[in-house]
Amino acid sequence: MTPLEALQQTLAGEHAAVYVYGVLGGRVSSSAQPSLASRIGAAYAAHRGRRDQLTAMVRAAGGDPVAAAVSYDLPGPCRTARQLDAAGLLLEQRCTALYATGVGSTSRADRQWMIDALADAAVRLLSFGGSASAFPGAAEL
Amino acid sequence: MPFPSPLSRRATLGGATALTAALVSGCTASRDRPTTPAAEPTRAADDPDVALAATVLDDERRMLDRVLATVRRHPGLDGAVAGARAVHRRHVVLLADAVPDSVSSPSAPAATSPSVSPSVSPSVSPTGAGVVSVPDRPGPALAALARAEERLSLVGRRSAFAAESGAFARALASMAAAAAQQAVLLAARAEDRG
Repeated sequence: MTPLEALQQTLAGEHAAVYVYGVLGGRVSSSAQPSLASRIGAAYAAHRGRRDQLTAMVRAAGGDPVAAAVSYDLPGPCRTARQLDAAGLLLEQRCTALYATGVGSTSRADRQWMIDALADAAVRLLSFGGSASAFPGAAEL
Repeated sequence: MPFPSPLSRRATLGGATALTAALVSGCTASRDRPTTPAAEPTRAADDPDVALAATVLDDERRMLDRVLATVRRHPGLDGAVAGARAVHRRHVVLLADAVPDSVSSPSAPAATSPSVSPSVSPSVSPTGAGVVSVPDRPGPALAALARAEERLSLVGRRSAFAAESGAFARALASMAAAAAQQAVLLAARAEDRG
């Protein structure tokens, strides 16, 4: 995978994450579920920021940033608090895999970005009920 | 969910296996030479990733020693540190596979072995470098471990940045992310104990 392909693939993942977290945020009650609402809100903000950074990184690498899809399928029903947590966990797991791939396919500042994003997502998935693991984003190791 | 398809499992595995093979092949050449053990590391360490792997292996072994020393001092923390112990054992096993014997430090081969008793192990580095002081109370002992994990994660991120091989960089970044997870979990458990 070329560095540009890795950036584009990660950007496509961020588009999906931003969309889904946006939907999740609309389904959580900040008064009834303040902790969940704040975790989803924080994740949404983080991925929106990463999406914007990646868009700039793709341009800097000479690419035309991949566009977001009109909509994305939700990972499951996403109604109860438990289902919302499960959706957040799945998003972060998918992102850790994308970032890990990105680490291996990029260099310099882009690689540093992927390294930091990987650690951040690995920690964030714990907040959605995920378990720690020996090789986040690279489970086959 | 229309995430772009990640690297196939096989492709990723292939990359990691190729990495290990490449690192180990570098060692075969130096092993064939009838040199003194002290002279051998220079040759294999010519590959910057081998040298990097040896350094990270030392760091991971030290972290594992620290975890084991904490349990020896506070047997009641066995459950609280079990996750960290398992994570770093796996890191040590993977890195030991990638580092030729001539490069790896002589410390703590016992910690590498999966057969080591999970409860108490006298595997502190014989050099003394692995002997760590553990705080007298369990809460601060966990907090100290959490800080060590945080430091290990930061060092690991720098190593991942420096790696030449993409597959190796990916593995190192993943290990640094694992240490970041342990830092958060151990800090939370330390807080629970006050």
